[in-house]
This record gives sequence, C-alpha cells and structure tokens, in this order.
Amino acid sequence: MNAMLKDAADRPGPPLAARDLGHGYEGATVLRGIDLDIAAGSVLGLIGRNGAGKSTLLRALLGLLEPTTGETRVFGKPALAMDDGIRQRIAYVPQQPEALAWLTVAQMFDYLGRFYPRWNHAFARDTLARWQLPANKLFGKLSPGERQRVELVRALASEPELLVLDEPAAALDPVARRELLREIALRACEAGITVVFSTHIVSDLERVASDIAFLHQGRLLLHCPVDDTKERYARLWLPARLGPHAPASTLGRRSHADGSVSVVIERDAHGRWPDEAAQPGVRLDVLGLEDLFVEIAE
Amino acid sequence: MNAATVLLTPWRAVPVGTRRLMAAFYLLACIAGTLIALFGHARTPWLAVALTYGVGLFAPWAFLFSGTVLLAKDARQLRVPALERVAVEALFAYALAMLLLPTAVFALIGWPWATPMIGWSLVMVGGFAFALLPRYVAVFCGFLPTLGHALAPGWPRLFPHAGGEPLPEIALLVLLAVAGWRWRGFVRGRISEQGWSSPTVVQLRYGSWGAWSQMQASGRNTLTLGQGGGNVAGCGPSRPVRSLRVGLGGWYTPRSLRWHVQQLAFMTVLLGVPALAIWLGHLRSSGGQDHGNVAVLLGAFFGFAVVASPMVCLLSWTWLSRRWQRVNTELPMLALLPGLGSAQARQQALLRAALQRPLAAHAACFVLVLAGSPWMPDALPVIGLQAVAVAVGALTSIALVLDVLGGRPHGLWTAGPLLAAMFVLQMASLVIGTLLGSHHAPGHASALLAGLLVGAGLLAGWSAHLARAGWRALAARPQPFVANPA
Repeated sequence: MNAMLKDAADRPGPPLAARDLGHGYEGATVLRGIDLDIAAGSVLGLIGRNGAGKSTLLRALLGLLEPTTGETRVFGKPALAMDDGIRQRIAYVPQQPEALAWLTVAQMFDYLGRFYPRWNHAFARDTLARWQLPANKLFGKLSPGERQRVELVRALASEPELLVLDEPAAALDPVARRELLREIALRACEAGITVVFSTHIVSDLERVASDIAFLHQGRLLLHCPVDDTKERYARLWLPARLGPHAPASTLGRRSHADGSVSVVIERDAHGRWPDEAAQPGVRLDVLGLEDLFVEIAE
Repeated sequence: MNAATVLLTPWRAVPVGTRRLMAAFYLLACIAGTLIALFGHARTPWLAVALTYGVGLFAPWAFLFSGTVLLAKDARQLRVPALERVAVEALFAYALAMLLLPTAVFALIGWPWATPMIGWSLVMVGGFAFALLPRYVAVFCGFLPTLGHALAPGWPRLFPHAGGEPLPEIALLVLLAVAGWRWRGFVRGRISEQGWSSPTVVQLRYGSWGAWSQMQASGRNTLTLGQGGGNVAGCGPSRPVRSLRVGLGGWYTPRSLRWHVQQLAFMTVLLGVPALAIWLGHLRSSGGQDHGNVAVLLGAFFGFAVVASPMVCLLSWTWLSRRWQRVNTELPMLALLPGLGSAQARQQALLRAALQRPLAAHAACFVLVLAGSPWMPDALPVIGLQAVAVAVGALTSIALVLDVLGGRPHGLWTAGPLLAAMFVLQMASLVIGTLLGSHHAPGHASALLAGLLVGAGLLAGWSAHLARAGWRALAARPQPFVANPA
C-alpha cells in the first residue's frame, strides 16, 4: 500500500484541478469561474442544492464536456486530452446510470474488464454476491437502486486511483448507502484513492468526507477540510438598528421583514468571531454542517 | 367541466408538433375535397370527395385522438377525477362532429350519404384501433390490401349473404370491439407500455420521435426480442471497432447466434405474410400462368430495397442523435474507456464503428436490386440508377452521422427534407429505370433521366457539403464522446 501511495505521490499534478472553469447551457450560466485543486488521497464531498451545477462540474472535471471558459486537468494532463494511462486510473459513476442496458451484468463486467489492466474479477464477483445483485439479469431490467450499485461495483472493480461519483446514494436504501459509504471509507483509508462525490445528504458527507466543497449557483463558496467547518461558522442575528453595521459576508446574508439581518460569519485566523458579534442585542448561533448548508443555500 | 375543456382535451394530450401536423393534414383534406366538389370533373364527384375526406380522417384518428388513451391512463393512475370520462366524451364529440357534418353536407347537396358515412366510420375507428393495437400489428397493416385481395375468393363462403363482399357494418363492429378492448386493457394497466406488444399510440408519449427512440436508447426493445443477445466475445483493446459497436448499442451491437436465429424467425414471419398473399393470388390465377403476380413480387422486392435505404439512413441518424444527447448512458463510459488508443485512433475507430453498419446495409439494398434483376426484361437502367441512388443515400448517411459525431446534429427540419429527398430519389430512380428498360418507354424518358440525374447531383452536393462540415467539426473536437445539446 505504501508503494502505491508513493507511486501516486510521485506522479505530476493533483488528481483533479480546475482553473477559471465556466460553463453554460442555452444561455444560462451553470458554472462561474471555478478554481479547485483536489489533493491526492482526499475524499471530497461536493455539496449543493439541486441544480447548483454539481453534475456539470464533475463532468467538466473529467473532460466529459467542453467548458465555455477555463480548463480542467486530471493527474496533471488536460482532461479533454487524457491518454489511456490516465483513463485506467479513473472510475466515474454518473447519476442514474443507464449504460449498456442491453447487456447482462456479467456481460458488462466481462466487456469492461478487458480494458482495465487492474480489473479485480474476484472483487466484482464477490461484491455482486454480497450485495445480492443478479449477474445474469439484463442491466436495463434492474431497478434504479440495483443499477446504481452495479455501477459502483463496476467502478471499484477497476481499482481506480480516482473515483468520481455523482450522487451515488440518491437511489440507494439506507442499508445499501451504509455499504457504499463503508466501501468508500475503506478504499480511501487502505488504498489511498482519491474520491470525489456529489451529494445533498449532509450526514453522508460528515461520515466519510475529509474535505468539503460547497457549490452554490455555479460558484464554489467554500472548499476546506470538513474538520475546519466544525465550530467555525455561525449565524449572527442583528436587530434592525444594527443592520447597517452587519459584517460583510461572502457566505450568506438575509434581511428579514422586521428589518433585522442574519449573516453567516466565520472565525478569523486566531479563532475569534468578528467584533460585531460582541455588540449588545445581537445573537450568535454556531452552525453545524447541515445548518451551514441550509443557511447558505436558502 | 365545460364544452371548451372537453373539446380541447385531445389536443392537450399530444405533442405540439403532432397536433399541428394532424390539424394541417385534416384541413388540407377538407380543402381538397371542397375543391374537387366545386371544380372537379369526376364522373362520380361524391365518391372522389368522400375518398379524399376519408384519407383526411385516418391520420387524426390514428395519431391525434388516440392520444386521449394516454391521458385517460395517466388520469386513472394519478386518481385525477373526471379526466378519464372527459377523454371519452371528447372522443365521442369529435367522432360525431367529423361524421355528421360532412354527412349533412352530402345529404343537402343530394349526394348518397349512407355509404360514405359508413366508410368514414370505418376509417375513423380503423385508425383509432390501429393506434391501440400492438406495434407488430402495425407492421402487417401495409400488407392487408394484398392479403384481402388474395383471400377475396373465400369471402362469399364466410359471408354468404353479403353479395361477395364482407359487410362493412360487421367490420365496423369488430373494429369498435377491438378498440374498446384495447382501450380498457391499456387504461387499466393490463397492457404494457414496453416492447413490441405495446400499443402504437405509446409513440406519442415522448414527443415527436416517440417512445421508439426512448425505448431504443434504453435498450428496452431488445429485451423483448430475446434476452439482449449482445455478444461481447472478441471485444477488447485489440478490437476497438467491435468494442465501440457494443458501446454504441442498438443495431450496432454485435449479437449472439441465438439472437440472429430469433431475428431470422421474426423476419420470416414478417415477410411470410405478403409472400403468402402473393402466392395465394398466383394460385388462384389461371393455372399459375398469370405473370402479374410475378410482377407484384418483383415490385415488392424492389420496393423493399427502395424503402430500406432511406430507413437505414434514418435509423443511424436518430440512433446516434439520441445517443449523443444523453449524458448518463454510454458516452461517459466510452470517453473514459482505456485501451482505445490516441485521440486520433479513437476518432477513427468510432467513425468505422458508426459507419460500417449503415454502409453495409446500403450495399445490401443494392445487392437486393441486383438479385432481382434477372427477372426483369432489361435491368441495366434500373441497376445503374439504383447504384446512383444508393451511392447518394450512403453519402447522406455519412453526412448525418458525421454531423452528429462532430457535435452539430441537425434537427428534423434539416434532416427531414434531406431524407424525404433521398426517398423521392430512390423511388424516381426505380420508376424511371423500369420505364427505360421496358418496351413502353415514353418519348420524354431521356428528359426524365436528365432531371433525375440533376436531382441526384444536387442531393449529393448537399450531403457532401454537410459531410465536409461534420468532418471538420469532428476533427476539431478534443474528444468525440462529448454530449451534444439536446
């Protein structure tokens, strides 16, 4: 395992990187100036509301679409010009996977296994059995949850160094979700693979992610280790008379009908809240990850 | 629920394009009928007008009003009150209006009205039943006149009091019963919306290209034709074209022997019906000496080749267009699949995978023409013109495929006229080729030939222009597996 980690560290460039990434569909801007570096071995949870641009960001990061502005790199190479060596190291599971619906699961694995030098046949067979997935059933005839799990087995069987999952838990029942998260945590800890997954389930993110990236209206508002978010952010409520003195906040600001204002604030480098928090009449509520998400996204 | 709501219901149950097309078709038939009545010189004007109006009735009842069954089913499943009843009321309202108004006009003019009324009823109910019957029945509908003609001697035995012809009233009742049975089964969920046994009307469910493309894209029609049948043997980095064909799916997929046998059996049944009809007709002719049936067989043979070529083009285009629109199917998988080589190698392999099958099918159409030519008196003109038409068809296929892969797919408004022009060219080359090879070639045959060649040249030029633009766009793409805008 150490050799694998060393090998990964020796390779140039982070597993995924984006510079000034922008994209849009039919006149609507979906991504705006995204700058992102994902460190090797990290588990990044990409969080955002529906339509925030999470899927588009993941697809752009992997070179599955041509961005309007900026560029993305995978292991240091432009994502749109990856070579086979890099492709072997990547696995991606789209949201609601439907690929190769006309093949049985066994056929699909037989087909894909021929292209990946490190394909783990034993893992694929055993995990299908453990997760009670029928190998001889057509992929198109499986339920959405089963399809999602088959795709996860497929992705993991290729022994990737970079695993990108788009809403992997969306169609899964609680048991399957636990199994998935356990598998991700195991892979990240033991094999040191880099995992990027999008979700809007905050508890999943808290359970396995080492880093968090918050995407809101096409902008990356936050990218930091999950531990750094604990006790770091707070909602500061100021009555109407103090509204004009509210601290500037890039994360969230809301004006209420009675003239009062709520802003999301964060501690400075010395762990102190802004001075406004000490004024009489203001109220400060420390935010957990879920509250922070709601506060910013609302 | 007022009358306006009832009358608007069928229009709201189908896509906008279908709605407009059907309305235009019906109105055109009405206008044509009126013009024939006012200015026509037919010996029996009422018959010409009745036939024209009858033609106009079929399409709306097959493709517009049949959409109410989808609405009724959804209303029942979603427990929307009254909507199912409104759908039925709307059908009766339109049926009465479209039947009684022209009947009244006929009666006022003093023309016979009872026979046309029954004929129109047959068309309306027939169109409606056609939409509710399984898709595979629709395939056979085209052969019904031939089959009816072949079986004509048996009708008097079946219907001894019908004066040698089946009673239209009985046919009407049978069709009504069939339509009612299928409506009930479909609305109550006993008839599936998936596969070949689903009603033809399900086409309307997903927009202009209907459930066909939707079903194809998810591979669901393959499911009903025998457990997938995909054959991944021989795939791998050493055979990128074959591997990509698996990824492209549909008719590109390499299949197992079992699947081919199943398809062969299906095609045998499909082609067996018209062959049986023609054979029966041949038997009933004077001692098998009538060469008219051979001509019919030959015509069917060439006709199949002529229709198949544009269909090949259409199939490749719709299939790949859909494939390149969906971001969660095979595109990301193919884009990230290792072992296919450099960007250029991937592009070349993709081109070969995407074009091999349609070009082989075009060639097969031409081989069909060659195979039928020994029975023609002078087959050279037909062979020559079909070679030109098939070559232009192949060029059109290449153009449309390149445009999709290059990320500039054409909509129906460009591809539709292109395909229509191709179909006309195929038909014209067959007819003119046959005329030139016969003893009854008209004096202006050479002018027709010149016109045909000019048309072929224009179509080839148009296709070549599109192909060139598509090729350039594909070459400029950093990788070819990027989804196109929907």
